[in-house]
Parts: sequence; structure tokens; C-alpha cells
Amino acid sequence: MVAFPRETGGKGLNRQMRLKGMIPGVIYGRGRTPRHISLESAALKKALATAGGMNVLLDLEVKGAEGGSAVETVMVKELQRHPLQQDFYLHADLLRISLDQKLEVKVPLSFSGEPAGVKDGGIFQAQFREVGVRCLPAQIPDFIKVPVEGLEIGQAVNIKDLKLPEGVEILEDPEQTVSSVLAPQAEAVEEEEAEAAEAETGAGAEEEAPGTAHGEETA
Amino acid sequence: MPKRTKFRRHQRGRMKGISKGGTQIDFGEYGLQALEPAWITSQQIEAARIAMTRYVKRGGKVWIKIFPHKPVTAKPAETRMGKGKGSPEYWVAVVKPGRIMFELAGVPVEVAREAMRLAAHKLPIKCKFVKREETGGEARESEGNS
Repeated sequence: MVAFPRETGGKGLNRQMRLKGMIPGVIYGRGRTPRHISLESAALKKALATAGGMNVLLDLEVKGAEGGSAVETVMVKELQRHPLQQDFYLHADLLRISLDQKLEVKVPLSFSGEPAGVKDGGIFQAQFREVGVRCLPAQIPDFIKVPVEGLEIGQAVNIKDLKLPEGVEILEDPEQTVSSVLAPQAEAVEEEEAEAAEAETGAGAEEEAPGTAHGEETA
Repeated sequence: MPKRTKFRRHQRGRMKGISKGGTQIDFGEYGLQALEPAWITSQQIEAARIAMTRYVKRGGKVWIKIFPHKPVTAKPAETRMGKGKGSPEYWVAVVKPGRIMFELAGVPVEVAREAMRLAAHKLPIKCKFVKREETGGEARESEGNS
């Protein structure tokens, strides 16, 4: 990937750049001066379309303002996207990486199998979809597999139950729940509540103060 | 609607631009995203919630990510102009394009899509069904439904 130097511009210049298929970005980290750059949006999209997602190491050739270039190893720290067009990138933060220093990243969890409790009517709930880990850049796993086939209603998988690859240290509290299978009663109660509330508002709207009566009427 | 407020009547404000926050799926697997700016009333939020909950029946969990913080006033019928601002009549949530209004989890994608379609019909704006981004790559699937 190639990055070009960029003068700090403002929204007008950045918008023009985005129309040409480039996005503004910044490189920082490792105690060096941050640099404003511009990147090809399509190249970045292609680089991130891997199993590792955002946790991929990029060799970025950064062109100098007066010619010449330097190659830096970076990771995408933050990617801003357009709220309505998620494929349209707005800005990228790139973090300089040292290959022999451990770093902290978020790794996605991959839940495998259908929990036994779900077959009995339970609701599978994932409290974590990604976990923070500390490891060397080359050891960042694409994902951490969480087998959930054996989960019955009321059972849960905790952080301490996760099997991590060698050299990977987890940063979350070991006692925290990763995923669980909830009993379905909670939803049934909610539905009953909704129906009760509906009946109540239908009957009680006239009794309430005029200021709140309209706010309670059902559509 | 809020339990207590600092001021009874608000100014109307404007709904320029797109949503600044709340544009990602945070809790569930599926979401209903606004494509237009609007005031969503508390009744519309409740109607959408009921439509969704009834369709998914016992399964699934629903999150409502908007709250009607804003009071809207109206003057009584056949009243002459003047004599101050009207009394608060109902409450609205100010929604701008991109906002994820509802989230759903624990149901198959077809059920979620239909539940969101039913909910979208209770709202005064065009909406889009969105899925949580899959692990790695650009797998966010989206589809217009209203």
C-alpha cells in the first residue's frame, strides 16, 4: 500500500479527496511525529478484507514531501465510515507497530455450534463479541473460537473458559460471562406487559392529565 | 417519556445532516436504521416495539435505542394567536439519517427481517434493515425494506 503526504486541509479538501477515491489518514505511534497522509480507499478496503479484519499488519510505503519514501509497518487503529454507506471510508488512523513489542488489540469471538438450550427454546446471548488481548503482532489470532454446543438454559461460558493460542494473554476479567443461554420466560413476560400496557392506555387515557394523555395513546 | 425535565417546553430546533452517533449495532445482531430525519413520537416507538415483539413471540431480545426526550407543544383548537406557547402534548425522539433505532438478537435472519419490516411500517420514515458486521472483511449486509 502506498500513502501520500497530505497538508492538513479541512473538510473541503478532504471531500474533494474522497471524491477521487482517496481518504485522509494519519500515522502515529512509537514516539515519532504524527504524519498526515492520504490513502487509496480501494487498496485499504482490499487489505482489510481478510479473516483478521482490522487486525492485519500493513507494510505502508509512505512517500515523502520532497521525493523518496519509507516503509512503515502499521495497523489500522480506527476506521471512520459513512453512517449510511458502510463501504465508504471517511478517515483512517494508522498505528506504527514494532514487531518485537507486545500490543493490545481486540480480537473477535467466533461462536461455533447451536447451543443445546436454544433447541429447548432458550435465547442465546453474547455479552462479548470481541475480547481484548495482549500479544506480539505476529501472534494476533484471526478470531478466538468459542464452542457453545453444550450450553443448556441457564449455563454460560466465562472468559476463563476461553482457549487461547500460545503467547496470547487476555485482558478481560476471567469471571466475566462471554455468552449465555437465557430462559425464554423473560420475553414472554415482556410481551404480556406490552399487551397489559396497551389495554391500560386504551382504558386509562381519559383519566390522565391532558398534558400526558396524548403521549400515552397507542397508535 | 422522561420522568422529570428541567424545562417543560423546548424550542423546535433543526434536523440538518446525518446522525452523529448511534449508527452502529451495539447490542444485538440486527438493526433498523433510519434513512430520513424525523420526529418519532413515543406512540410510534411503542407501536413499532409491539409489532416487533409480537412477531418474534417468545424468542429474541429487542433493544430500543432512541428515547423521546423532546416535548412538543400545541395550542388548543379555535384559539387566537398569542397568549404564550401552548402546552406540551406529546414527546418525540429526534432521529437523523443513519441512526440505529431498534436492535434485535436471538432469532434467525428471516424472522428479524420480517419483524423489522413490520416495525418500519409503524414509523413515519424510510428505514433499512442492517446486520452486524461479520468477523473479518466487509460482510455487512444491508437491504432497503420500506
